[in-house]
Amino acid sequence: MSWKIYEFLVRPNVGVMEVWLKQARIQKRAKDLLNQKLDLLEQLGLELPPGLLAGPIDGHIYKLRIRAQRVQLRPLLCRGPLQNNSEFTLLCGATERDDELVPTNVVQQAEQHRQIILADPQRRRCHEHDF
Amino acid sequence: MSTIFDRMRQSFPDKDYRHTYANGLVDSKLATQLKVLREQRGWTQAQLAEKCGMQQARISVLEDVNYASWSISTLRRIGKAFDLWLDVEWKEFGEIPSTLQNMSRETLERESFDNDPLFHEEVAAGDGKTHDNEFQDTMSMVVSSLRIHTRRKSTSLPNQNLELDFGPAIQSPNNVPAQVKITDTTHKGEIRYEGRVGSEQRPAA
Repeated sequence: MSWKIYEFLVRPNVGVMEVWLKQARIQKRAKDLLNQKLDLLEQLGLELPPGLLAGPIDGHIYKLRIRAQRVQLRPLLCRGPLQNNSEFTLLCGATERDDELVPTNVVQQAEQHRQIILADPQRRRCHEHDF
Repeated sequence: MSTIFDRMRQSFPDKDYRHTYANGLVDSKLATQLKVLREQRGWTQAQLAEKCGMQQARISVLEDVNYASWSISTLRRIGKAFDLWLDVEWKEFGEIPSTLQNMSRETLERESFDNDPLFHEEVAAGDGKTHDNEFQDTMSMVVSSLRIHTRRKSTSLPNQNLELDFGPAIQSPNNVPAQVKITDTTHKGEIRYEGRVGSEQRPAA
């Protein structure tokens, strides 16, 4: 069974990942690896691939782990939140340095985004990996 | 919503992209299969480490889809612990979608030599009047190659039945064509086979 990947919309038609990748100036190779790991998540979910996800942190938030050459990408996501057994939603972009997430308040921000989606499912869209 | 394959078709013309993607997929698959094989045998990381002559922490590092520094010697060492052989080959990028889509616990599991049916099940010899050991060995090698090939394709072709007539290429000692029936009998890609050797006359031309 494959999973569906959604992403939080920061505003109409603007996905949170697109904004983060530009702001954080994530390099192309890291983005390419991010796409590959997202495809793996879409195909296999969270049970089989070891080390793909870490968490949950604070109840619902998971880190997607991508190790590129100079940067550790840690986009935050949750199961569901509408269909917990068939979908994931990307909530915030983040990196990790010395075991600390950057930005430091990103987990709280991700939870806020999750709550917004629960209140208004239109605040997300299918993630197309188009970065 | 686009499929994984749609996205690959869009992105793979970029050479750097497709190589980064493929390398990441291979790393992910190796780590996943390492975990699947260990769990298939009911071993802890510490038990596998002991069989490989490594530290448990090393196995933990390897069982990570982000690990990207595999060496053939390490893979062979692990293969010996699982009593499996290591196959390394170059592939076309067109095989990536099926490689990803066929990844599952069932398709990644492998039996150790002691449980490999090829070496531990009798070849049914039909009415087996004229077979000899040399011919049996030849048949076993062919069946083995087919079995590996079939296993690789097993997810996309479940329950396939292949009837193979070896024809003049491989013949029994009496120049009688052999027939081997290959049947994919499980969803794991395992197959059973039965050989019928040398009991029929070649049809008249």
